Amino acid sequence: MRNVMYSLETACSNTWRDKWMNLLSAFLICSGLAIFGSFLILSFNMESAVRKWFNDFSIVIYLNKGISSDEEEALKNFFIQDSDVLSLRYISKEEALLELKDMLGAGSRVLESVEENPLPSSFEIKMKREILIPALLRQKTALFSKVPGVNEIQFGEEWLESLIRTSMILKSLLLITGTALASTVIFISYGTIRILFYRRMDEIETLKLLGATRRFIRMPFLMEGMIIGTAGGALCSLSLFASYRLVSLRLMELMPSLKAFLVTMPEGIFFYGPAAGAVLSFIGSYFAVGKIKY
Amino acid sequence: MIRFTKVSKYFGKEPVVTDIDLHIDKGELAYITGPSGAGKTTLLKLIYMAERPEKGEISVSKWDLRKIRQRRIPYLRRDIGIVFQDFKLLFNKTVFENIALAQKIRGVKPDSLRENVDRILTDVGLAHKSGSFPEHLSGGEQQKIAIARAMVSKPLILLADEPTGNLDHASAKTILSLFKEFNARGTTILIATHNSALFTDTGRKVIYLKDGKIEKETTG
Repeated sequence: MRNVMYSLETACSNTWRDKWMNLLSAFLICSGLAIFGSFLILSFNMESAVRKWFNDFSIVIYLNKGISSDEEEALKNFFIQDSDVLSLRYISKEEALLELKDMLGAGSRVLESVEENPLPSSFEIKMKREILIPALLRQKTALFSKVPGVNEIQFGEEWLESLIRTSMILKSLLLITGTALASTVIFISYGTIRILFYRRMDEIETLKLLGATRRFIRMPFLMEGMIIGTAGGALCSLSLFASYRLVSLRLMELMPSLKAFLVTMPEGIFFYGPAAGAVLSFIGSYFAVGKIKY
Repeated sequence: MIRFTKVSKYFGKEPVVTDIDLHIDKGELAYITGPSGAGKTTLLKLIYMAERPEKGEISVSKWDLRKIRQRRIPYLRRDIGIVFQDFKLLFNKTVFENIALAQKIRGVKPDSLRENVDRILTDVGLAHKSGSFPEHLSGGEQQKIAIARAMVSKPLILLADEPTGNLDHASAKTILSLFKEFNARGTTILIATHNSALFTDTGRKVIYLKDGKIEKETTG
C-alpha cells in the first residue's frame, strides 16, 4: 500500500514536472480517441437506423381467394405458433384495398372503375431477428408456402441482403478503425513514456543502486501513463459530448425526420472515454518501460 | 563478509580483473587502491552485481552471487550501501526526500522513516539542511548526504568508490571520519581510492591492484 502511495505521489509530481510534454501527449491521445469516438457515434446512429429497418422488416403471406374465415383463423393460429414468428397482423381484403388507395393517393381514382376488390387477404408477419438471413428465410417461406390456403409469399430478399451487408460493413469498419486508433493511442503513450524513461535514466540508475525492485521503478511510469491517458480520454469525452450535441441539434433542425434514427449520446461516455485512455496508455507505458535490467 | 575466490572479469577479450582472491571480514574497514584502470571500480561493481564475473566465486554476507537471479539483486543491494564520487543525488528532491527514498524502497513506515532520516542527518551533522535541495549544498555536504542515504537503512556493508575524488582536503577528512564512525558501529566498509593520504598510517587493510591483479595486501 505504501509503495502504491509512493508510486502515485511520484507519478503526480513527475506528470507536473514534465507537464508540457504530458499535456501534448494528452491532446494527441484525445485526438485519437475523438476520431474513434466520432466514428463510433456515427456507427451507433447507422446501426440504429439499420436496427429500425430490421424491426420493420416483414414477410407478406397472401391467402387464396374465397378462403373462409375459419380457415383464416386456423392459418393465423398455425403461423403464430411458429417459434420464429415474432408478431402477426391480419390484413383483410378491404383493409388491403384501403392501404392501396392510401398509397396511390390521387392516382387511386383508377381503382374506381374496378367493380370487385381484386386484392386477397393476407398476413404480415414479423420474424425474429435471428432468422432474418436470406437463406433461412427462404427455407421458412418455402415451408409456409406449402400450407393449404397460402397462395403466395413475398419478402424483400434483396433489401434484406443489402441491410445485412450494410450492417457487416459497419461492424468491420468499426473494428478496423477501432484497432488502428487504439494502436495509435498505445503508440503515443509508448513514445511519451519511453522519452520520459530515458530522460530519467540517471534517477532510475540511482534507484536500482539503492535496491529498488522493478515494480518500484516501473509503477510510477505506468501510473503517469495512466494519468496522461485518463486526461486525454476525459478531454475527448467532453469535446465529443459537446460537439455531438451541437451537431445533432443542428441536423434535427435541418432534417426533422432524422429524429427517429439519431441516438442520444450515452452518459457512459464520461466513464468509457477516460477508461479507454487509461487502459490503452497503460498498455503503451508497460511496453515503453520494458524489462528493467540490473 | 565479502569473499572473492579466483574471480576474473573480462570486457570482451580484455581482462579487467584476473584471479582475484580477496577476503574482507565482518566489521573491517579496508581500502582498495591502485592506478586508474587497475580494476577498483569493477571490483566494487562485482560486489553489488552491476557486473558478473566470468570465472570464480563471490559471496557477500549470506549471498552466493553465482546463485542470485536478476529479480533478487535489489535485495542484495539493500544489504549494501554504495557511495560514489559523483554522489548520485536526485536534484529534484530535497535532502530529506533523497535520504527517505532509500527507506521508501524498503517499505519503511512513515513514522519510522522520519525518525531514521532525522537521526542519520544528525549523525552526519546536516539536520539543518533537511529541506534544502542538493544544488544548494557544497560538494562535501552533498557527499555527506550520499553517505547518509547509503547508511540510513543500516546496511551490513558500505562500498565507497573514490568518495573524496571531488572534494577538498578538509571535506575529505570529514568524510573519512564519518566512515570510521560508521565502521565503529559495526558496518563493514570497503573504500576504493587512489588517494594514498586516506589510508596512510591508518592501520587498516590496503589492497593494491595493478592491471586487474592484486599486487600486494598490506596494512596502511
